[in-house]
Amino acid sequence: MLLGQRRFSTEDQEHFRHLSGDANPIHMDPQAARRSVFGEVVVHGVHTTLWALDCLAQSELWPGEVTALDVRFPNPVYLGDLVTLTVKSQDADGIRIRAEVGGKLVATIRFGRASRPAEELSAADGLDDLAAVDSAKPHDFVDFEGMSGGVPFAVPAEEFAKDFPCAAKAVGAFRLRDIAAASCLVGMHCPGLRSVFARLSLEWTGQGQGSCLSYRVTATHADFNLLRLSCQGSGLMGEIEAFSPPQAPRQPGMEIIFAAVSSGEFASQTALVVGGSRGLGEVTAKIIAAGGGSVVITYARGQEDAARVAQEIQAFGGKADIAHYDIFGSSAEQLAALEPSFTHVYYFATCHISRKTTQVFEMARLEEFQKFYVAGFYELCQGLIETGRKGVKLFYPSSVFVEDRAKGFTEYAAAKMAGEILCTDLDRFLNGLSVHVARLPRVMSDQTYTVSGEEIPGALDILLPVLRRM
Amino acid sequence: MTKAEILEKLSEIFHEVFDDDGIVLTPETSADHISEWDSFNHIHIIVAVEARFGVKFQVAEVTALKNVGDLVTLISARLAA
Repeated sequence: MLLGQRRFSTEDQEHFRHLSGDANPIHMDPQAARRSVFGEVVVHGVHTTLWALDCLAQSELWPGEVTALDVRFPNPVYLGDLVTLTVKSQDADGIRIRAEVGGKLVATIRFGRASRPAEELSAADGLDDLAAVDSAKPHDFVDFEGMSGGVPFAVPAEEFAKDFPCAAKAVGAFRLRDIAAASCLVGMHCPGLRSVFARLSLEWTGQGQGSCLSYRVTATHADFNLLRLSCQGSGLMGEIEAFSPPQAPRQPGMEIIFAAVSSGEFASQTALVVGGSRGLGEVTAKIIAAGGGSVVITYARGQEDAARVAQEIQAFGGKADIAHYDIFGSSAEQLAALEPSFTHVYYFATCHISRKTTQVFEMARLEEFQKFYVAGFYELCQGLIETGRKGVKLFYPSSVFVEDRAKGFTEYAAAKMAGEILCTDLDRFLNGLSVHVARLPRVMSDQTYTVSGEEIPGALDILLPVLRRM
Repeated sequence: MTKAEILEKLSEIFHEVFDDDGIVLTPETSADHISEWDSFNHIHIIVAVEARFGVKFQVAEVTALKNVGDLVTLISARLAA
């Protein structure tokens, strides 16, 4: 049975930040979210949970009494996704709700009865005596074990009654505030930035007078970057599991690149690196500059990142400049404002690649990839011709995924294959440009790093031999 | 614990993680057969397995698993150790 449907907006995110105190940039800042393991702004999982509780409390399926909840978050909800809540089952143990986006499971939520009476739970807690101040944050993951503290409530409980009136009436606004504080705990306190909620399992206690959600880390699993925490608020207690993915990988610095590149080997190049503010584009710009070439690094949104890369190159005596270039704008107009005599153009414009889906194929995703990997590249070539740039060598990064790929990359590989076909024909039919294609393997970047910190080859080792063939 | 018993417990975990009681596990079941079984959910499964069976794994061990049969063998070896 359908319980509710909604899309979360930027305003919703902002409002939930106000209620919970959870201002983690993965929920608020598109630039910061680009560097996160999800690649885009995601909805607070706890917001989805509270909304589900409110939907249930106003439905005829409300079981009369709810004193426990258990939520798993197997996938993120992105801003603007249409989230659908359906009741999966209902029995003496409680009610199971499935939250999904386009058929993809984003949360399983069980509302039921606590294992023990509230009074017993309160007596057995052991988190009462914790100071509402975080203990020192450790540097190493394993040292998180034993960290404790408290998350002060961001707003009076009554504010929750305005946004979740039925849930507040059913379980008490103070408990909604406790649940919201769990979001702030994981996102801001422990483990903090970049963290991802995996599971939340809570049981109601009697109403206490606490002014914060107390917590203690009970276990760490460094191999999977997973933490387990006990928590206790003003009317509930329980366990939280959260992943703390490693920081988005930084590409190698100029020192390392200088050591790998022969002096002057790219000195004849004046290169335009489209999408050079990060990832493979960043490494390409650094390699060319380290080999004595001159580079113009373009960005669409990441001006700060592009400036950082250019400064790093300049600090090592290299020649680098930055320019705004949007593949959705007129290429000729944008190129007209740039250096007239490019010898090489490297094209690394991309959208976020790894977005999970349950369907083998989605047309909208193929269309999005094609804008970047086919139409955007063609427009760039047209612009080069229109602005009189002949004899330019272009590099098009295809992918080994066109031959063999992991699950969920069907549209990506199809778009790259289409890009390869375009490159072949541009090379044949477009006078004055030569296009070089290489199928690159998966290399370490903020597009490919994962929650578990899986090892992936670095971009320098993969790109240097490819660029030497240009 | 026999491999059949391990498989039965694993089934419960898969039903919970994927919210789908219709999943029928065999040793040959792999990520190709369960649409939502990707690398992120693989970690969810492994973490649940660790808690349920009281064992611990390393990343290299669990990324090398090809199917449910491999996972059953790994759990069985760990329980026997």
